[in-house]
Amino acid sequence: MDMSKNVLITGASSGIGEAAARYLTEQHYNVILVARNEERLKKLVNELGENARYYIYDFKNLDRIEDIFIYCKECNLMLDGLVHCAGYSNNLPVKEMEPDILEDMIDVHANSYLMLGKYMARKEYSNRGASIVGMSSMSVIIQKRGMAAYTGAKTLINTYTTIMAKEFVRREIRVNSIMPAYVNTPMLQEMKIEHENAMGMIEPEYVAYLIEYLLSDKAKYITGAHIPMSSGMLGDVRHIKNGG
Amino acid sequence: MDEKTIIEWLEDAMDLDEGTISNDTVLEELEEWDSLSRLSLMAIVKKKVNRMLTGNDLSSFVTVQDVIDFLR
Ligand SMILES: NC(=O)c1ccc[n+]([C@@H]2O[C@H](COP(=O)([O-])OP(=O)(O)OC[C@H]3O[C@@H](n4cnc5c(N)ncnc54)[C@H](OP(=O)(O)O)[C@@H]3O)[C@@H](O)[C@H]2O)c1
Repeated sequence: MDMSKNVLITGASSGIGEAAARYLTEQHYNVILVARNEERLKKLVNELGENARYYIYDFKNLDRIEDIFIYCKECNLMLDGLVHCAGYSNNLPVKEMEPDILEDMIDVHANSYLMLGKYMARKEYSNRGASIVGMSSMSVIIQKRGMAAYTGAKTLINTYTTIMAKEFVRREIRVNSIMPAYVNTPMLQEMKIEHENAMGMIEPEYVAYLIEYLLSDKAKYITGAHIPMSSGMLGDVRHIKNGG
Repeated sequence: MDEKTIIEWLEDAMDLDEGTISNDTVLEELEEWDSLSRLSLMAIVKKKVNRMLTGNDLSSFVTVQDVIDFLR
C-alpha cells in the first residue's frame, strides 16, 4: 500500500509553489499542482514524474473550486495536505485603487483559501489529521505604503487560518500560515524592488522546507500559527546589502 | 425528506463518520453536538429545504428521531 501523503499545491507553476512541488516530490509526497499556466504545469509534471499531476484553475473564480477536489477524488487521492501559494503582488497607492483590483486581490489570495479550506475540511475529500498551509507575508507586520490591497489580503489569510484551525480541530486538521519576508521568485523580480532582508533574500526552497515540516507528522501539535520567516527583516533597520 | 438523508445531514454537521448515529441516539450525549454543529445543521437545512431552524427548535431536539420528526 502506498503510504505517501497526497498534497494539493496552488500557485505551483512558479516561485514558492514550484519549489514546494519539487521538494515534496523529492520527499516522496504525491502532489496535485494547480495554477493557470498549463504549459508550465505540464512541463513541471513531466519533470517530476508519476507522483505529480496538474489541474488548471483561476482563483479569480470562487464558484468552481470544488471541481479541483472532485478531480482529486477521481484520481483516488484523498488529501493529506493543502498548500495555498497562488498569488501576486501589486504596488498601488490607495489614491489609485479600483474596486476590481481590490476584489481580485482578496479573492485570489484569501477568499479562495477559505473556499479551498471548506472542501479540505470535508471527509469525502481529506483524511483525518490533514494539514493546511496558507501563504501570508511579513508585509502583515511591516505594513508598507502602496501595499494596502496585498497586505489586506495577507492579513485575511492569517485570520482565516486562525478560524479554520478552531473549526477543523474536530477532525484534527491543522491550519497554519507562513509569513515570509522577501523571497527570490519571479513575483519579486517583476516588481523590481530591492529587498530589505538583513540576512539576505530567501531562496524559495527554504520556504518549501517549512511547508514540508508543517505538512508532516513532526508538526502534529502545531495549529493556528502564523509563522514569520523574517530573514532579519524585523523592522528596526540596520545595514542591508543593496540599500532598501 | 427520508430519514436516511436527515441522518446524513446530522453526521455531516457534526463531522461524524457514516453510520455513527441512529434514530435513538441522544444528541446531548454527543460531544460533537456543539454550537458549531448546530450552526452547520441550520445552514444545511436552509440550503437543502429552505427552512429556518430557530434556537428553540434546536434545543427541543433530544434524539435524532426528534430532528427527523420535525423535518418530515
Ligand atoms: N516572493 C516574495 O517575496 C513573497 C513574500 C511573501 C509572500 N509571498 C507569497 O507567496 C506566494 C507565492 O508567490 P511567489 O513569490 O512564488 O510568486 P510567483 O513566482 O509569481 O508565483 C505565483 C503563483 O501563483 C499563481 N497564480 C497567480 N494568480 C493566480 C490565479 N488567479 N489563479 C491561479 N493561480 C494563480 C501563478 O501561476 P499562474 O500564473 O500559472 O496562474 C504562480 O504559480 C504568493 O501568495 C505571494 O504573495 C511571496
